Amino acid sequence: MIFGIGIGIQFTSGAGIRSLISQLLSSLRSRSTYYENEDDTRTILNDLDKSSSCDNILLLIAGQSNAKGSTEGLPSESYLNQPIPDTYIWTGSQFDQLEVDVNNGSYTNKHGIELNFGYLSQLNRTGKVYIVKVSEGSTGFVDNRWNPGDDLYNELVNDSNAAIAYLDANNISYYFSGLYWNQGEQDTVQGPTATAEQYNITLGAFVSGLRSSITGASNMRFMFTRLSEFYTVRTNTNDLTRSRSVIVRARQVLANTEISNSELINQDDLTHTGDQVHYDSASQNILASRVFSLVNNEITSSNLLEKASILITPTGYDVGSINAIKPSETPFADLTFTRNTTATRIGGDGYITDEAVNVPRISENVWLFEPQATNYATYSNDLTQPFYTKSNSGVGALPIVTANYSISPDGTQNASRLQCDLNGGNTSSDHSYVFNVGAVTGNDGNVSVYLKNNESGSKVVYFRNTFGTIDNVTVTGTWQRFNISNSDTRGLYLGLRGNQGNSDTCDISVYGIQIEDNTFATSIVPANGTSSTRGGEFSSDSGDSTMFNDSEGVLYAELSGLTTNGSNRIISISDGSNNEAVRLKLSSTSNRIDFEIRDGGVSVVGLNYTTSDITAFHKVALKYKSGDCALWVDGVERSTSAVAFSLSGLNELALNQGEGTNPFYGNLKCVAIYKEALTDTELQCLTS
Amino acid sequence: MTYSSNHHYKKYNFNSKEEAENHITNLGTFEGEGGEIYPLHRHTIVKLGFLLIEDAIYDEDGNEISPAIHSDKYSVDVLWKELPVGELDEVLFPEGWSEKELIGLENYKHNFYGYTYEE
Repeated sequence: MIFGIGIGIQFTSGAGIRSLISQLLSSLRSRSTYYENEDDTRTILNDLDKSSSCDNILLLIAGQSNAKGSTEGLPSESYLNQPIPDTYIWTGSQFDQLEVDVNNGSYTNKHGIELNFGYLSQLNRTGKVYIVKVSEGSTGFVDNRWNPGDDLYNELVNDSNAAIAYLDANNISYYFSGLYWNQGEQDTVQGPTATAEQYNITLGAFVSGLRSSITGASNMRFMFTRLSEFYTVRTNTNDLTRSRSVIVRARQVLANTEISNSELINQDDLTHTGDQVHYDSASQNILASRVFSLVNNEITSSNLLEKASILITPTGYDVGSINAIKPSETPFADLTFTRNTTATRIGGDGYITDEAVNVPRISENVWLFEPQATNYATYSNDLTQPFYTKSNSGVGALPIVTANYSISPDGTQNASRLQCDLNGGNTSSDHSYVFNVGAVTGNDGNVSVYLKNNESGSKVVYFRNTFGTIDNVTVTGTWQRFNISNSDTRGLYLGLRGNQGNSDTCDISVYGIQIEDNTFATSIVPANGTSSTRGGEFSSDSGDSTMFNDSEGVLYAELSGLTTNGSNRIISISDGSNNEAVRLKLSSTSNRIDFEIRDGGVSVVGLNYTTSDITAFHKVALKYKSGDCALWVDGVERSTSAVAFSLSGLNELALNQGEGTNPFYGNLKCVAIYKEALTDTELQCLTS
Repeated sequence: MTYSSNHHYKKYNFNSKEEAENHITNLGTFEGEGGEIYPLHRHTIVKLGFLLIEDAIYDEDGNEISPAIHSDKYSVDVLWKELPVGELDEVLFPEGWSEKELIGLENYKHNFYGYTYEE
């Protein structure tokens, strides 16, 4: 879709991406037996659309008078003569909203491209514009103002780094769109001519210096103007200046071929203020539109949604299959899925519900993968069963239990009622509770239960396991799940004890008692008369060799662990063996994320980052390229490696380490594969 | 060789824990990079151990008054997946397991969620 904007310029926009999102969702919907959670997937896809996920733009502006702005007066457009919405300019210690004659860094009543650039951005995009502008009239390389180490060069470096540090400190993500450079005139009016002939080399050194000195600018885009043709035939100067201007124009063209990631902007069609040097207001606005077009097109063309070769979100699935949203045509890149038993999940309506054998689970809107678990509580809901001993001592009353009393988290009336009364007893000898002490012997384990207060307010309830780990829990009018993990969890006590908590009576609903030999609480495995087992979950075999690049690429996932440690839980791309693999691990070391590359059966790259809590969601990207690997977590490059390697035969995305072991157990919002090593800017956007 | 698309739920009794673990190991394992042993199969196996026949008796504080009585057999439940099928369409269970199969519903203590064990 093309749409018009101010001053008669048109740009392509994110509309094409929105069309792509609709097409992807439509394809997935048409081929999936089960399809849900589309809104969340739209959010994920929109986030991968870099023009929205990395909304903010950082632009550097530098040069001499035409960069600064030497127009004949204020812009005629009223919308440029007021604060520019969502556009900010660096003022030395902070960013202030951009406004002509207040802080736009130009001469009084004059302006450069900054006003219309900001206006066009707020018209076409959703993010903010951050501008750093360093400019001064009649300055060049020849007079030692812009060469590396010169005063204006240093000012540009220092201001840029300060502004970037400010954005980082305030957690403002941005797309570093590059430097707009408008200069050259001074190197024509001041000799010697030999210096003008070196202009391309001087300019190259200038750009190279900036790229090594400004934070995150190692491949900064360099957008620069070519002297206008009218400048070479000026009538108000001498022959030497005119001849040097021809030379500089030619060297600017040459520089564009010599400087990487550069764009030369034509100005020949622009008009001046009458002095044959400075562009008028309309021309500055046209220049702004040209720079904006370059920036906007770059963002659109590097769209992370378009670039992904495989993309998996929690939306479409079938029996035995997690359906990839991308590719949307055959060959698809669906993950196979197996689980030998029924399992429970929290559905879109918020209730616990069953999912059949081999049907993957979207629980609370994310993919859920769990290990095998057995619930040794033979009645998970019914406290009236003999499995639970009703006990009282001291002045405590025998607890009263009622089966099928209230609506449980699964939406049916199957929760038990537990009424306890200490009758004022406040010693450890006074109790009124139910217990079971012998469900599992001698294993690491976890006991969990859903509780809700049947009365108004909240009650502190005595909840412990057999070996005395006590967790006095506050039960409210909302269902909550409580759990105790312990090295020897065999059973549970639930009710009131005189020396614990401050409740004398309680009337609570109880559901989903689970005593399992995992060290953390997994989804409830309902039991009614026997212990009950849920099978482990395994998923693999996504993609083929055309969807991976042995030489370079990115494995991205937004994920969380079910527990802070335990086994290695791995997502990988590999050749299906232990020989060639790129692995993302939730490590057995507490809260750690690992990035491993195996080449020729040997581990050649091992990077890691320890999060504060791996059970919270994190966005993780592994960039792999021989000699250039990086681990990105939550918008920050955490670790790098320059080790050389030569991967071959990558042909499979799997939720295990490649050959089937160390399956991934956790929550997953998104997995994406890229066949190229994304830029730092893209990786920052992807993981922010 | 064709494989059964159905799962098959079976119960087994072994004379010892070691005998049970040998049977499970013989289903196929391999050693991971760190020396860990992984199964090669995707069956779901639950080692139930020596099942409780008679509950222990506890006082109100959870102290054991009389001990529980356990079976002298080591029980294992298996949910078989994708077993091979013979020429007569019969499911072929791994060698040595049929001899250990427990027939009958006595001492029925465990289930795979979503399944009902039948003789």
